[in-house]
Amino acid sequence: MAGDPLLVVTDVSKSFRGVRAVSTVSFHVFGGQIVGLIGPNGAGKTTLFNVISGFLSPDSGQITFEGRDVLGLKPHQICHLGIARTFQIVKPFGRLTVLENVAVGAFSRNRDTRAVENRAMEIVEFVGLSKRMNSPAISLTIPDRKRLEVARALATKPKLLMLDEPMGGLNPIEKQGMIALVKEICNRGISVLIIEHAMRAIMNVCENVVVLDYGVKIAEGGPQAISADPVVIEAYLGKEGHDAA
Amino acid sequence: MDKDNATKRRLGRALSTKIWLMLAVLLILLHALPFVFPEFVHLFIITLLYALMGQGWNILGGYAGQFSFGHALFFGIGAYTSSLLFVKLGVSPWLGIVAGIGVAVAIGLFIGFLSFRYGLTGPFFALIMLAFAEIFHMVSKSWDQVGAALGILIPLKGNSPSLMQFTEKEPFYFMLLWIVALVTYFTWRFEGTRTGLYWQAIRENQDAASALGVSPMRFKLVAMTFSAGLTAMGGTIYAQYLLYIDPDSTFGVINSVEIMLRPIIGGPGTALGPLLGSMVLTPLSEVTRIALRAYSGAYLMLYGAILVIVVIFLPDGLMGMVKNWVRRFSKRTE
Repeated sequence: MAGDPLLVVTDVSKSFRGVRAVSTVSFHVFGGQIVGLIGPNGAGKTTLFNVISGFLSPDSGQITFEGRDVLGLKPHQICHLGIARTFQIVKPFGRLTVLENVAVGAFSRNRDTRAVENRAMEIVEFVGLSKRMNSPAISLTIPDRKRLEVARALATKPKLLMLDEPMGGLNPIEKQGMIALVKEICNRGISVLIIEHAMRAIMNVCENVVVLDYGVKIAEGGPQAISADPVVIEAYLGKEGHDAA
Repeated sequence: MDKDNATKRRLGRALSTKIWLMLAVLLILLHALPFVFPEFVHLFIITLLYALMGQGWNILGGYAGQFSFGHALFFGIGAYTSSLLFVKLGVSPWLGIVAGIGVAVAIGLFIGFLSFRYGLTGPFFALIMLAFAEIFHMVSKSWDQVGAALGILIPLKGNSPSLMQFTEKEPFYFMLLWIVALVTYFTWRFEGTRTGLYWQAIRENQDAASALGVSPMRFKLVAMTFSAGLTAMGGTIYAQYLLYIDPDSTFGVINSVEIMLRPIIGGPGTALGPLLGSMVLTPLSEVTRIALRAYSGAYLMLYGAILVIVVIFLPDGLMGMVKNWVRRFSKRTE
C-alpha cells in the first residue's frame, strides 16, 4: 500500500469509571482500504468509533486524519474533515423523507439546494432506496433503515466511512446485499472501517482486520491469518484451552 | 396529476398554480372578514396575534425540537421594550418593535448559549426558559421604574399610524393578517431548505445530525433568534392594541402556556399548525372565559382537558388529522 495512511490511531485509551473500555489501541487505515474491526461483545469497538468520530474524548493517545490531529474536534467538524460514521442502533430522522434524510448529509458539502437534491437522489438510487424516496424514514424496514444510514453518511462525501455493525439484525440474503454495497463504496475510492460482531460476515471483504478483546488489540492482519490465529479463536470461543495449559 | 406531483416533489416546497390562486383569493376575502362580522374583530385579532407568537414558538419548539415553557419572556420583552421607549422617551413603537426584537433576540441567544453549551435539552431546557420568564415576571412586578404590579398605561394620541395607534381595530387586523400570512409562507418555504432540514434533523436525532456535519449549537441558536424575534413582535403589537400591559398578562406562566398550546394542538413542526391551533383554541378560550367568568381560571381546566385529548388521540396535532384526510381523499379520487 503506497502513500501515507489516511487514519492513524496511536495508543488510544478510554476508561469509564475505572473500566478500561479501550486500552492503548493502535492501527492504521490506508486510502482505498476496507479494514475490519472485530471482537466479541463489549470488546470496545463502538467506544473506539465514538472516540474517532468525536463523540467521546480519549483519556490518552493520538488520532490523526490525513496528518491532521482530530482530537478535541466536535463530531460535525470531524465530518467536515471527511470522516463519516453510521450508528449501530440506526438513528433515522423519522419524520423526514428518505430524500431529506440524505440531503441533510449532502448539505454539509454544498449549500445549493438543486445540487444537493441531485446528489441526494443519486445516492438514494445507489443504495437502492429510490422507490422509498418520498416516504418518511420511520416507515422503512430495518434493512432499509440500515441502507439509509449508509446513504446519509455517504452523502457527506467522506474519504473514510466508518460503519458500525451495518449487518447487525439482517438475514443472510440482506447481509450479502450489504456486503456488495460496501464493496461498491470501496470501488468508488472511499476507505471503509467496518465494525462487525460476526467474523465470517466480513472476512472476505476486508484486506486488513483488527481484533479487539476487552479493549485490547489482540491481533491484526489479513483475514486468512486472523481466522487461523489461536489467540483470536480463543477470544471468540473461550479460554478453556488457555486455562488448561 | 397527483402522481405527477409526487415525482416532482423533491426537496423544496412547491404548490400548483391552482392552489396558489385559491390561497390568493382566500387572502383577499379575509380582508372583508371584519366588515362581515364587525362584532368579532377583537376575536380575529387575538386569533392572529397568538398564531404569530405560536409561529415563533413553533420554530424553536416544533421544528428544532427545543421545547420552551417560557416564551412569555419574549412576549413580555417585546411589550415592555416598546412601551417603555414610547412612554419614557417618546420613541415610536415602530422603532420600539425593532428594539424589542433586538432585546429579545439578545436575551434568547444568551439563554440558548448557556443551555445548549451545557447540553440542556428536553424538560431541562423547558424549565430554564420558565425560570428566566419568571425572573422577568418578578422584576417587572417589583420595579417601580417599569410600573411594578400596576403595569404601564400607554397614552392614546388619537389616530396616528406613525405611532402604531389606531382608533379603530381594523388596522390591527389587517397588519396581523399580512404578518401571519408572510410568516406562515416563509416558514413553509423554510422547511425544505438547508437550515429548515437541519432544525428538523436536530429535533429527530441530535447525534445523527452532528455526525452528518450539523453544528447543533449553531442551528439551535439560529432557531432561537427567529423564535424570540417573532414572539417579541407579537408582544409589541399586543401592547399597542390594548394600550395597557402588566406583569401577569405578559410575563406570566399562563401566557407561556397560551403561546405554546396553539402550535402543539395545531401540529408542532408544521407551517400551518400554529394558525390552525389558534383558530380552534382562541375562540374556545374567549367563549369559555366569558361563560365561566364566575370561576376565575376555570377555562384553564378546559385547556388541560383539550391538551390531554390531543396528546392521546392526535399526537401530530390537528395538522396530522388534516394530512390524513387529504391522503384518504386523494386516494379515493385516483
